[in-house]
Amino acid sequence: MSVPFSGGATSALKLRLGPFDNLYVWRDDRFQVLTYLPDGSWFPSEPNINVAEAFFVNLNQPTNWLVSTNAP
Amino acid sequence: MNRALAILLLLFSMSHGLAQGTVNFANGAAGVDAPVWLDRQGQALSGESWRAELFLIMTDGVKKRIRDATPFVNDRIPGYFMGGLTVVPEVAPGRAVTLEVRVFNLDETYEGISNPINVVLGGDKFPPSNLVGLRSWIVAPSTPQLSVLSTDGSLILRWKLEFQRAILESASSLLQPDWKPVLVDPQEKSGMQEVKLPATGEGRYFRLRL
Repeated sequence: MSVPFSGGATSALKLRLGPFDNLYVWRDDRFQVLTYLPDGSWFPSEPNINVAEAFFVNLNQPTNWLVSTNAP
Repeated sequence: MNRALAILLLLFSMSHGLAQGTVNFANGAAGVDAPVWLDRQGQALSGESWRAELFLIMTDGVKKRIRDATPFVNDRIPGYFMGGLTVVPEVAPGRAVTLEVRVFNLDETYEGISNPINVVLGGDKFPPSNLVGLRSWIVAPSTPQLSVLSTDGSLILRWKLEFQRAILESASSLLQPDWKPVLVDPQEKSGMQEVKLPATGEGRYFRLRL
């Protein structure tokens, strides 16, 4: 059985991104833009995605994102 | 009831009227990969002295700075700046604008201007637009333009404000020039450095030393 979880977009949620891909998340009444950098870091910082929170990405190349979770 | 509806409509139109367009001020983003190079040496800009600023090109051609100097990322990703979300003042989301990026170093000895970029602004309920269409460009040694104006018995010498460390010098001849600093402090006026001198005595030559 899967349980909801939260955390860093790439470090915890294992989102697979390429250099200069953008992630958008609604914060402070507007879309914040975050950029995944070629060295694996983020600008300005890695987004923390909360449970049930939406985000979307703008990619330079298509990607597959598969996540398996198990109940602790 | 009608009055309440009118107030609601007024508030709605006011909030939309106040909405401002946004862009993602970065030369590395989805659909944008435009590193900045030093001269033609094939070397991407790195180090803490490089800055990028964003200009809106108005319909009459006048450039308006809308984002102050943004540092480059770091030496691990040379050639790239990341300014992030940037508001374009007094332009509504969804409007098309033309933007330009200027890159320079802190002592203003190098600069480079990007190609113009036409983008439709994000903002309101849309994410900021990326600078799609921005191409790589180079920075080269910059030279200030010195202008001279003679008026009312005075000589007014002007140069761009960015060259604040430039020293105004004068000489009486160019054959064996005796360049000496002009001992008048420049004043900031209309985005320019300005020195006013009495137009008396013999002719002199002026230069800016960087």
